[in-house]
Amino acid sequence: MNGLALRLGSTATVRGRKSRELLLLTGFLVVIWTVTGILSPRFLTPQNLSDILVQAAPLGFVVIGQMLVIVMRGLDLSVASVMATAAVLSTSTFDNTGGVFVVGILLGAGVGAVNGYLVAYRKVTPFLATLATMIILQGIRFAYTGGAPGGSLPDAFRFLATGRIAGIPVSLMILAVVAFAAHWMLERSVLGRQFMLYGDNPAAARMTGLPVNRLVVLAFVISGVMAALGGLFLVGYVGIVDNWTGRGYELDSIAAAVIGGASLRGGKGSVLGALLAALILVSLFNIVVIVGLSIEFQMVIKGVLILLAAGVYLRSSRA
Amino acid sequence: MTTPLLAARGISKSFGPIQVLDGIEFEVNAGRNIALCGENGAGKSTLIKLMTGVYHPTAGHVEVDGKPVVFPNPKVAIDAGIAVVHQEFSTLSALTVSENIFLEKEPRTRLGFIDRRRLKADAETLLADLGIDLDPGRTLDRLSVAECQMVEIAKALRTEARVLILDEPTAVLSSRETEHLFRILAGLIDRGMGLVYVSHRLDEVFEICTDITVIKDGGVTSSGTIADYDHDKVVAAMVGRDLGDLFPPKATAALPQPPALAVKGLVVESGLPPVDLEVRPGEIVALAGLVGSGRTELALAIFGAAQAQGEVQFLGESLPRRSPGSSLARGLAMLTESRKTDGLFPGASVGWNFAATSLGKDAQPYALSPANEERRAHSVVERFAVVVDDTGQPIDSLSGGNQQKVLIGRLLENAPKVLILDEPTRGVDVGAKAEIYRTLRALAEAGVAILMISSELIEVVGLADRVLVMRDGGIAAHLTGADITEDAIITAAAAGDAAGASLDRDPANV
Amino acid sequence: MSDFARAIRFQPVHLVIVGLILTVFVVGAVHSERFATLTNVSNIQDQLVVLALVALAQTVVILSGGIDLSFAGMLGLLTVLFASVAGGDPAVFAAAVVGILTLGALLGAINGGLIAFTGIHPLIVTLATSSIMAGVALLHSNQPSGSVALFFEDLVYARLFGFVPYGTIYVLAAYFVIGFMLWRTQFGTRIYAVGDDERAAAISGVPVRLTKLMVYSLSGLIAAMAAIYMVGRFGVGDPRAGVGFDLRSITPVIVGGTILAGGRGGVLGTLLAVILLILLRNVLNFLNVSSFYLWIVEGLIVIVAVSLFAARASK
Repeated sequence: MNGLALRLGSTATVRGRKSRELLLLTGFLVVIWTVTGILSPRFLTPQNLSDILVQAAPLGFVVIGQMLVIVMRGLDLSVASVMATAAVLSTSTFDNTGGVFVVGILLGAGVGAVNGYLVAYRKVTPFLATLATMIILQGIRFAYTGGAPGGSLPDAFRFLATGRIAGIPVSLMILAVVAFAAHWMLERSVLGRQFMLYGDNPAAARMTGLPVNRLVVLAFVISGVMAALGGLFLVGYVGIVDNWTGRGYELDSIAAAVIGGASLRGGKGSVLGALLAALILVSLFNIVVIVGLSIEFQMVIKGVLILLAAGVYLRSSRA
Repeated sequence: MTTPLLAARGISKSFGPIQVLDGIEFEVNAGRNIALCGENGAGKSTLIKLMTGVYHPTAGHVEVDGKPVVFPNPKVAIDAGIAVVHQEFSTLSALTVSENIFLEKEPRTRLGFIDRRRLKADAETLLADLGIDLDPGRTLDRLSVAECQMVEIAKALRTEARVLILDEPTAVLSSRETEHLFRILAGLIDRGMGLVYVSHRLDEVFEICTDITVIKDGGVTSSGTIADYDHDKVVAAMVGRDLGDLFPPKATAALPQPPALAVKGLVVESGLPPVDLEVRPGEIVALAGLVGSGRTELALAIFGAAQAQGEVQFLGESLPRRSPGSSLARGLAMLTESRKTDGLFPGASVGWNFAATSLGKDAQPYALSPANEERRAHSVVERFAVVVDDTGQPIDSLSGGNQQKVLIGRLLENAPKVLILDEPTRGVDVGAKAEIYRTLRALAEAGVAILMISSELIEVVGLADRVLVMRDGGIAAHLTGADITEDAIITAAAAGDAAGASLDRDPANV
Repeated sequence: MSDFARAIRFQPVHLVIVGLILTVFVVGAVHSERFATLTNVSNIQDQLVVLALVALAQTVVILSGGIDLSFAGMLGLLTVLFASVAGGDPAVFAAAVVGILTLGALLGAINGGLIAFTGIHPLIVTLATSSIMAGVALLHSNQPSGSVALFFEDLVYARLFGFVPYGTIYVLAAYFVIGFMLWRTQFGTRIYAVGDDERAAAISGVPVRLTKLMVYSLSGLIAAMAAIYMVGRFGVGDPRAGVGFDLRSITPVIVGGTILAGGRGGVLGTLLAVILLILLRNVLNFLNVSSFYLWIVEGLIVIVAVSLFAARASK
């Protein structure tokens, strides 16, 4: 068999299938960028493209965690609630110190641990476990802020989310580091392989001696931490703390994970695909505005894209 | 000759490039009970599915009353009077007995609503007619497996079925329940129904069947009235070769070493008897017994995948807290009964499947080593002659036999000292079976202690050095040497037989 | 179990919910004399109509082993469309009602068709269609808009015997019809069969795909019923009317004893759970407890309920 075909297009191997999906996503992104570039000269400017990337960064963090949980046959509906709570807590607890991040991340880890405990040890379905923690966290957050979050946004937030070092946005640098670590973990480490195997067949994972319960908890903890990071970067970018910060991200992150190749049936997904999908979504939102369409088209496009992606992957996995 | 109720005429079926059936002729006649025999993978289930509209033939056709018919789906076959009791139940545990029996055939009121009163009454009548004592209003999650089987049969007979196909109907039944089933079946034959009886248990075939057809590797090898057959003739037609070719010679030397695996007073589930057993390095011990006699549960408890009370000693060391992970780490490996359920990672490649138990065992404990993985996967592919183009190929694109070879290769990856194998040749073709038998014997000769569960008596008799027969969760008999015969195993496995039970109750004394 | 108990899909947990409802009611009555008044009792009923209806739709879908997250977009779309045509005289209004119910059923059928015939997970399909419908609703009108025939508004606000709003009758009728359908029609049995075990149902001759198609279509129809009521109650169509109902519709189903995996449960439990949740919110208001705490209570109830059922199922 031709080596190049094997690597790029052949569906005969598992890896080949995955490469083809990533190629498809990249191709799609290139096409929409090119077409929009032709339609509007304002689109393909360095300023606009870097805006898109910075805008996509918060979703990028969240979708990495969400994708991992989906790989593990789960689903994390609590990410948006974690985003808002992390943001609210951090901004009201400290001012202008590194502590703000620690508090938010600890919160994300804690919520993830509770989710993981419920799923792994109490056998609650991920959907209901994270739905419940989402609602509870929401109640705690509103009660804590009395409905109206106070506190000022530390300067550190603004800098991390919108600042630049040598012309490169800081948020993208941090996302790049986190994403590279996540990519290495999932593709090249024993832990990542264990995640993938568990997602493919949890019963077989148990019988082959994998630490199944710990894996589940860890996946949810990672998702919680990534959501917290996403929330902190989002408020930094928007500039305002709100009790509903990140609203809609639970479903957007699921959408991006699915468009990026993750399957709710588990065992399939990649960091690269998830990030590409997040970038595609945010690009489309940007494009809708740039070509002068009504902003509501974003939602229609998002829906169509989800169906399209899920349909394409299903076909390719059956082929 | 009368026209058969149902017939397969030159029927063939392929899945992709794999030809499963080739030109099968098969007839079901009124008032007769024809046995359909063959080894696992011979094509029995495929034939049944073709005759009931689940699959569609690639060549040939099905006839009802001598006329060619096409069954586009199971419903049409059911309407044509072909009823089938599949090995996998089609009963629904959330529905009641009566709802299950009349699913899709519910009696209606004039307005088209389900007539609940008649539903119940009809179910009561049908059950009474069949001599089955069940409350039609109970949901099936409150019934035993045998009771669900009765519901399954009642369901198959709710309409004016003229042909009833039973696929391994006694696999989950006790001997008393089997007798009950046979009485029901005899009544149906008397009424002029045509029966097809698929079973591994030849004694049952000789007891209740009038005709027999044997298939092997997708073709009919032998067919006729049962009176013309004896046990050996059927086996010869099924296996198609001498058993001597299939099985390597057994261990001859005495085994002086202390046991590698010793189980003392293990209680798998409260209420079941405590189990003692030993397996020494170099021997293959078979756990025989009926499905449901507790063999798999015992194996899982030893391996640490299920909770149990009692002692398990591994190489003389007592292991109070066991888990699959810790057992594997110590050199106690297990091949599970169902590849699909808890053996394979179906979406992963051959290489990934193979490497699953040896992750993190390389020089760097946290990072993968693709080169090492690749090299080891290749060595297994070569050693077991696994038919595969590329170790990156998804494992579900392989045949059952090749999948099983990969799993056995995976078991051996950590150089285990004790192997537990639950139905190691299930769904594997005869050629691969012989290879697996040779591999197991070679392992035993290299000093591995092997505990094997098998429902195929031929395999137990041909391969095992010692046989422990289980019944109702306890060990009912212990057979060695020339005492290992199919008759002895069946006798001991069936309940309430004094001769079987008295053979030996305590394997630790041997 | 008696036939009647089976017909209404009675579960012991329903007694617990009834007990909680009574307790909460007594607590409210003791604490505030304005609580156990006809006005408040009819207010509570007004508040539960929409949730009761979407939860009813969700119950049917979950019983069939699926999930429907499309209410967020669907309610918004259906209310704006209904409000844009339902003004004027009774004949036009009647036509609008028929039209919107048909549209709801059709939109649901699209969900069902995609789920049944492509094999894409219901969660993904309904998430996507919800987004599309929300977008279309907002494109149609960005703000709450339209109007509804006055007689209909009057009807929605009228009370039988001074304390039973017509909304209650509407809800009870819907629950009765669906409950009857589940118990006495072949479609009802098919829903349970498909939800319990799709493979076994298919072997038994149940048309699994058709059943799924019809289930989601029915869900859309019931959502349209909720949309009509919402327009009557608020006088306008709001493209954001459905926000939150996608997930909110699930809680009462689960608390009421229907299993997320499908095949087990019924509509009675859902109705009781809706009453409990709405009553709880109302009482917390009277107790001057911030409604934020209701979320915490609601989440805890879900966890307790699910752990309870999980423990029971594993026995």
